[in-house]
Parts: sequence; C-alpha cells; structure tokens
Amino acid sequence: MTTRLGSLLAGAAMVIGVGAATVGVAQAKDFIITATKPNNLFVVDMAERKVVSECQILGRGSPISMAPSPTSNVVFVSTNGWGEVSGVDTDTCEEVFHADLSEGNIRARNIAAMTISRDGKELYVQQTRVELLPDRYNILPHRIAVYDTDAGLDATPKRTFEVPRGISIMTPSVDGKYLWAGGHDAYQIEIATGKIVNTVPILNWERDRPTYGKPDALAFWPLYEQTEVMVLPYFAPKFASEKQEEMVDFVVGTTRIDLTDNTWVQEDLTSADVLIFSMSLNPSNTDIIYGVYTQLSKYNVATKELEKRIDLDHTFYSVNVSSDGKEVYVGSTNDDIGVYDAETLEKLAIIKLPGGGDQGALGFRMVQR
Amino acid sequence: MKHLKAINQKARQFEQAAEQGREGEVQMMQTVVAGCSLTLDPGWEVDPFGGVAGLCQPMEADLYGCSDPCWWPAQVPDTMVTYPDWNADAPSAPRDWRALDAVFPKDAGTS
Repeated sequence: MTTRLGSLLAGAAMVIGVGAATVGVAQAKDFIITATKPNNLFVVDMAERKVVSECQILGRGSPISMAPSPTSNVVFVSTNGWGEVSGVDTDTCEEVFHADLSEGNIRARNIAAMTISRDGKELYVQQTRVELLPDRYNILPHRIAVYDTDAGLDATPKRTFEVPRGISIMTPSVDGKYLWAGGHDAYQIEIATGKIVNTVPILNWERDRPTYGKPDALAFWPLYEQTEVMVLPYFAPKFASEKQEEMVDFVVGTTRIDLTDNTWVQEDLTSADVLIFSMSLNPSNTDIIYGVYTQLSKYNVATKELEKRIDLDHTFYSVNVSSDGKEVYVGSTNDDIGVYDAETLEKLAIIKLPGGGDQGALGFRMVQR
Repeated sequence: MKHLKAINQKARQFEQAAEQGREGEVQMMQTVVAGCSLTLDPGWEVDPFGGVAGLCQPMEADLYGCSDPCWWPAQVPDTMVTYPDWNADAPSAPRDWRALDAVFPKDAGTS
C-alpha cells in the first residue's frame, strides 16, 4: 500500500510568500473541519491548535455528513434533520449551495453518505426515501442524487441512480471514475452509469469466510483523505470449522480499499479486546494503523501486533493522522479534538471547540491549505 | 426468541418474520441505520464482550451520536422527524443533560 503524502502536498495549495528580500515556499498545513450542536461549523488549524473559522449552518443542526470541496473553501453539510444539504463558504460564511432532498409527498433524508467529485464539480448525496401516502408509508429504494456544486440555492439533482440500502459512507476513487460506498458490504459504483462493478462482501462474506460468523461492521466515518485508503473495521466471531459450533476467537480486522488503484485487502488484525469505531493508516508508514473508541490503539497491520494503547479522556468516534505522520487526531462525540503523538500516543493537546456543543456522530474531515 | 415475549405490534411483526423465514430482512435492517422506523438496536445494556466496560465513557459522549441517527428509537426521541426540538436546549449532552426530558405523542412536531 503506497502513501500519498507526496502527491497530497504537491497537489495542495502551495503558499508563495514574497517578502522584501526573500521568496519562500510554505508547506501546506493540515486543517480539521468539524461541526457541533446546534449548528456551528469550524475550521481548525492543527499546527496552531486553534479555530480559524467559525460559521453558522443554516437550518436545524447538527449535520451527520460533510464533504469539503477539493477545489474551493466550500464545505457541504447535511442540515435540518438531514433533509437538506447546505454549502457553506468557510471564508465568508456565506451559503452558496442549498438543496431540499424531499419533494412532494416523498420525504428524503441523507443517512449519511455524501461526497464530492475529485474535480469539485459534482456532489453525491445518498438519500433514504419514503413516500407518504394517506394510508401508509411506502419505502422507496435508496438512491444517490447527483448535483452540480455550482447549482446555487435551489439546487435539484441532475441525475439519480439506485443503490443498495444501508450505504452510510462514500468516497471517490482517485481516478475520478468510481464511488466507493460502504454499508452492509462495500460497493464500487461507476459514476457515469451508476452501475455496481464490484462488491466487497462484509456482512455477506459467508462464501469467502465459511468459518466466520456474521461481522459487526460500522462503516460510518469516511477518514480516507490522508492516505487515500478507506478503512472499514469489522468484528467477527471465528469458529473451529464451517459447522460454526466452537468459537475459537473473536477478532477485529479491516477491509482496506485503496482508492488509488481500486484494489482491496480484507484481513484479520488480532483478537478483539476493546471496541473500535474507526481506523486510519499513518501516511508516513502505512503498516501502522490507529483505532479509536474509548481507547486509542496503535497496531501494525504487517506484524498484526498491538504496539501501543492508551485510555482516552472520553469516547471518540473518529481518528486520523497528520500529513507528516507525526500526530494522531481524535474527534466526534463531545466538544473537543484530541492531539496525540503518533509514535508514543502521548497526549499533546486538547482543542476545545467554542460553544461547547457536541460533535455527535459527525466524523471530522481533513484538508490541506 | 423462546425466552422473549412480544408485547407490542412491532415485536409481533418480528416474530412473524421469523416464522415466515424472513429473518434476513430483519437482520439487514438492524445492522446499519436506515432511518428511524427501520432500526432495532438495544443499546446501552452490554458491550460485545458481555460486560459494560466497553460501553461509551461517559454515556453522555455517546448520547447524540446514537440518538441523532435514530440508533435507539425506542429509548430516545426521534429528533430527525418527530421530535426535532427535543435537545434544542441541550447542545452538550455532558453539560446539559438535565434539560433533556421524556416526550409524549402530543409533543410531536409533526404528525
């Protein structure tokens, strides 16, 4: 598995500092974008450990999904009970995009996959839809609605395609041709046609893994941006034989989808002894993977060993790593972002978000500027 | 299921699904959140290891993360559609949990 650190830095905005006597090239910095209740959107400078932008999201908060544009400072977030999508310019706090997902007697919610194309031109929004009839609710197929990101404040989908139920995260492949969607299983969806071209079994892995029971997999936090590898952790009972009578282990493992070449690996990591909600690889050494919940764990996927574990101040849901691979960030749940040394897991800082509202289930996103 | 007795209509429908060989549909719905009416997840009682040490610490850290997506629709009001203002005065669960209250059908913001 390769690191994309070099291309990330090369592709990110390079700041040219022109002084009286010097010309310097500043390295792109890491920023975390997150949101808290009731409807606050924050951009946090991780090197400075401070909030550099705070905007109000229109509509009732807080969001469950968030997609920062790769080509501008606009962040797309779900709002109003996840029934609408708002695009907020984080420099001016102006709303530049708005879409109501419901139409007529069809009520739609975004739970919770949303992403944006690599060129920043299209927004993809998963929709859970229900037709409200006088005598009953008619459950409609789930779908992805495609919007132009410059469609303005009354945006409507330019096309839609049906997808399996339960898709909760989505990321674009680096070549821009596919969406990788995680849910019961992981699906590679061709953007141009909406056709599923590959399915990576997770919940339905019986044929590939006859000695394993049904996994518990929580594909909820799209924390792929630092390595271009989408990591979906799973927990599963492992049996002595296909009869599945004698359980010999209860394992934690990962399905790792490489967005650079659309390949994947699904393998056990080790015996499960703590819960983990999300995992991210270290961009400077992709053998190292971090998992978070009430503990922060550091594993080696090559040796399958737990290298280090610490107890956190409270439970966190999402974890990611700085571009230089030296710091680990944990977020979601309450009103803070934790900063830890990637090698020792020593606590370096806690960044409190103004207002003290909860981040809830929202996974933070990382960008370089 | 032999030690559990259905006491409401939804639970009886789950029993019927098992009798009709449609357990797969029920299983699919409980694995990943698909909306407030389609989720069944006990929550809070025990962790996957049968104890309580693996539950969120403190419980308030997990409250909105689970109630917002209707993970516990039986235990916590549905703020997505039916009770949108249930936690409007409590943006921080650890700090403001005393402002959270039980809800009743007449409080519903929508019908």
